[in-house]
Amino acid sequence: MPRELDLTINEKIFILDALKQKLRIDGRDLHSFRELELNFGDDYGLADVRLGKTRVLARVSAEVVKPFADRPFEGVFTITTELGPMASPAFETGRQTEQEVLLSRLIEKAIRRSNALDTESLCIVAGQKCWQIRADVHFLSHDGALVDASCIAVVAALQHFRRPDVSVEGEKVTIHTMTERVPVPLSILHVPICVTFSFFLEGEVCLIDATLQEEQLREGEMTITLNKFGELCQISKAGGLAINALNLLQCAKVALVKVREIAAMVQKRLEEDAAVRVRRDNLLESKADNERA
Amino acid sequence: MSLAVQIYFPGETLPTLEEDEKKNTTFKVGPGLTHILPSTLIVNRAGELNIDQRKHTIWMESSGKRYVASQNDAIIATVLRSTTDYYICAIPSSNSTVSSAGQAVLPHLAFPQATKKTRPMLHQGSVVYARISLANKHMDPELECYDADSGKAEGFGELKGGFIFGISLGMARRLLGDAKKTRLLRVKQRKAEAEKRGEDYQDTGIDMSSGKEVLEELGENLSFELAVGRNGKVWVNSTDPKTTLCVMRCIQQSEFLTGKEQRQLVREAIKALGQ
Repeated sequence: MPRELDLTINEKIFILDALKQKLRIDGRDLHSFRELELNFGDDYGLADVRLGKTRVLARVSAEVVKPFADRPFEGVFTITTELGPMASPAFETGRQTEQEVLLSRLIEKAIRRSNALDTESLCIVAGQKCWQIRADVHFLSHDGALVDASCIAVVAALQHFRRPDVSVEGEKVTIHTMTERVPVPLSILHVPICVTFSFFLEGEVCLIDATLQEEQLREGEMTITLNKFGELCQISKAGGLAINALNLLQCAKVALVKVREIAAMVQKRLEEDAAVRVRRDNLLESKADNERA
Repeated sequence: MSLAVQIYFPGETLPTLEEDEKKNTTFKVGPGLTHILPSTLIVNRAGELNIDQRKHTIWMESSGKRYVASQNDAIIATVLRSTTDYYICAIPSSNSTVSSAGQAVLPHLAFPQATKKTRPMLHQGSVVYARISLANKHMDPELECYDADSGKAEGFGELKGGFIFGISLGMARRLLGDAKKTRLLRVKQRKAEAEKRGEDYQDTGIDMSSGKEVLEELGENLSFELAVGRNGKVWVNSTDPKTTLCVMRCIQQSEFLTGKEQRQLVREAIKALGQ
């Protein structure tokens, strides 16, 4: 298996020198994201996020399962992430690296444990049948900021997803096909977005959306997850450089601005996509509040 | 077969060469073509067909990203570690973060006037501009840091300071001036074609473009050092990081621009730099 090459001495010195002058290799400000692109697939629940050269694909799917015995009124929600050789030849399938474990735990905490998805609304028959919602994250290209990109991809895919409608008559459960009844969106309680900060030069320089080169060189990192209402979902700082409280507050302020921008962008793209769908599939005719013929 | 740009896809069979092009000489078959006896050539890499009449070579030109070591190529390699007699180097290609061409060996004595005592000390992560002295399909390539003819450095050796970035392999070859000969031939051919039709030949700006106007324009306006490796790596150094970054961006952005556009791009970048 090819190992990822370390940065050369020249690159290390140059990047740090440039950072001292507040210059980044790709010409961005310290506190700006790369160009964010969000596209949806033809089917519901497929989101394709590009952040510069990083590319992440999230796919949401649903099936009917038996709920956990200790939580009979709740559906199941799982997120799976796997770093494969598609993202970088240095990643191997099947073997979990520390980076991968950290990544999946971060996303899990940001989205699942912050209750972004209302799992109670996924219950069909208490203790017997519920929806299992599954989000698969595929990393197609790795140029840093995998956490931020995959978080955006998952929340966008969840909001884009529609599950088939069900009706319950006594013990009998009917799952209606997508053509029979208009599929229903998931009940999303809030939209968490992650912003990862990287620290350089003993905390003197702090930047967001680090590229792969910058990630290889940083002394510490911290991920802040917020929603657009400014509610904090998590702060994760697994080791690395110690930072003081003032810096932390400043980071949180920057994060809130960025989260609002990204959330608005995701919302805008969702609306654009919905408009395209209405035109393509004649969805206006199938609205419930239309007059019956 | 004329010399106008000819694009082929993998699997296509080349039409047989016309008599006046063959002139009963033997052609050497270069990369991107498979020779099937007795005289069929099948394309195995999408790209532009190139024929050099003087050197009697025929090959496909395309812009890949994976470098395969070949003898006498000047490349930019990074040192992984040192053993008793050799430096073990990686040859990264383009933007890849792994060493695709395997590991190369650079003997401690493969520097100009190097002896056991005077050899340059390279550390892990050092960057060298070297020539591939030996490339074999089943062996690790060998490197040398001096010119084969003169035995002098001639620009080879450790690259100190500066920054390294990746470009496509086709772009790297263009920056090294490979396209010149085929370009002149193409212009000649175009002129002949135009004459046949009874028209005047007019250069559209594509035929005569060297594809490296970006370097010419940058060199006229800024002072910097530059080394291009055939493995798709470029090293730039200057006194100011801003200048280095400006050069880097201009080169990276100019891959698909015509000569005129390249000059325009550089002029705008330099204007922005001055502010």
